[in-house]
Amino acid sequence: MKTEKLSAEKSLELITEVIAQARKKFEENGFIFMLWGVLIAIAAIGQFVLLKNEYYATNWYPYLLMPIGVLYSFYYFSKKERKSKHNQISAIVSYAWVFLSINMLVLGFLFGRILRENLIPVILILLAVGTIISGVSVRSRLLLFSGILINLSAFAGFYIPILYQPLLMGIVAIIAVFIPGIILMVQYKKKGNV
Amino acid sequence: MFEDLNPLLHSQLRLAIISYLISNGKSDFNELKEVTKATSGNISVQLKKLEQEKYISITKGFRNNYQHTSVEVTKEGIDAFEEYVKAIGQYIKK
Repeated sequence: MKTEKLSAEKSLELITEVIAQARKKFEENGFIFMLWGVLIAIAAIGQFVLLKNEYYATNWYPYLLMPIGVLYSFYYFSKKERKSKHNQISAIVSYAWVFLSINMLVLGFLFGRILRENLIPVILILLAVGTIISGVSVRSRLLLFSGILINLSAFAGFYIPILYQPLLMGIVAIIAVFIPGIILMVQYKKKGNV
Repeated sequence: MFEDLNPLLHSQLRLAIISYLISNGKSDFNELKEVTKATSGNISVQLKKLEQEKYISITKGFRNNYQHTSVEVTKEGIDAFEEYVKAIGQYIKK
């Protein structure tokens, strides 16, 4: 009898997990994609402008926006997570983004000299992985395709001269991060979640 | 105390439809017919009831020149299903 009771509770747990997962789709408001789309675009295009005007020593300064963005994202999610229900998949997505962002920052600030012209494509691949994971978790084809687009542009980046790589990243951030963020925000508002 | 079960969801076919939509997000008329093994008429009626209550949204269109009805669960539908599961949980635990 005891195992039967456990299995009934276990199945209820499982159903609750599925419900929490279904709810995620309605919670994705696109804000974080809009924020990061803008931040990456400003930093990358800023770097391109500085390099183009031969400010070689200070060309990386716009990327100081990134740690600020990370801190704000932590604050944003800690506030949001308190309201929403946790489940296994949302935990996987959060941890994936935390480790991907740490890797992007470490690679960008500490390994730039080793990676050189490979840095931006590698960072774009990490960004693509995160976007694809998010897309799959909320069943958003839009994010999934954006992730694939970022991934393909990363491969293209390996063939682009180092000067134009930041410009590529800036354009990709607008097309595959910022614009999907706006579309997700519009969809979110349409669903009446204002 | 036992909470009342939502009568709209406490019907085998409607519950099957909502459960399927919650775990799969989106579906269409033919797929629902296949998984539930119900007749077209019966599914139509139940979908209409669920739509009236705003538990699902129905979009009609065309796919390969055939009429295609896609069905998606709404936030209200998820809320109602969650309430239902919570209520039925009390029956199981007691």
